Amino acid sequence: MNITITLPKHAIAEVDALAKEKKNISRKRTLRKLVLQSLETERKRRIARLYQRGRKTLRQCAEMLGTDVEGMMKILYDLDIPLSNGSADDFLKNLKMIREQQPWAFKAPLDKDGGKA
Amino acid sequence: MRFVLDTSSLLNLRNLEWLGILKSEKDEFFCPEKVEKEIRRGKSRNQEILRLFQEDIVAVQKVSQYVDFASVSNADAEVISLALESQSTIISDDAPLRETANHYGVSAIDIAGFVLLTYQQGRMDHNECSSHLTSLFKKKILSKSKYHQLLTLIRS
Repeated sequence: MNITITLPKHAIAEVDALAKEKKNISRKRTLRKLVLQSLETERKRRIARLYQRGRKTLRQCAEMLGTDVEGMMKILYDLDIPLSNGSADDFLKNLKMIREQQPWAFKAPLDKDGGKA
Repeated sequence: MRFVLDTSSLLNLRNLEWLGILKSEKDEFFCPEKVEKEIRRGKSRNQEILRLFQEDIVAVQKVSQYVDFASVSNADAEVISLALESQSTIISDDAPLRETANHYGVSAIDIAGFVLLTYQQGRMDHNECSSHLTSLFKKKILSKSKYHQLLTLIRS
């Protein structure tokens, strides 16, 4: 399928310079490559945002991008998205759950204010 | 304490060269077969993790009562199912997975949480704990806000 686009002169000059750099490939092929690359990057960003917002797990995102858990971790790293977001409150909430489920493991629990009891 | 390890936490522990933290006599670590498969399919650097399975430091367990949690993948569901049936806490750096686990009454922490637990049990001193949290922040595992919140938490 063919599409026609209008670009400012400086952008066309950039494309031509890039084409020359890449062993003189045609303007058309250079543009095609650039479009496909940025679509792929946008796709990664879009799926990484799903993870960041808690909508999809790491594995689900990896599957959507055709990679594995480690590959997805690398994508998040490259996009500056912290892997384990959340808050200290999440930890405290889970600490309470662990205390109830495995009480024998606790001798001096952290209190809500952060100090040691 | 009993823990179920997820792939994300095992990979991060390997990347940080902290796998030794799992060699604790006080804790038991499990992982479901699907996590083991993911590790096995991974890079050659995963040999260190596979050694933990071979040495039974992390016991690979078959899930006998698989629960199909609609909102997550099969491997995610196996992690939660194993934690449910073994009454363990999940260690995963996958925040949405932890949230789903919590929704079904399963406790789940990330590596930072595990570091805090270790500190709390007196098996790590304050400096070591804050230096571990700093490493997690620098490796973009912890967000800046969570890092500062956790530092405040351990400051007594």
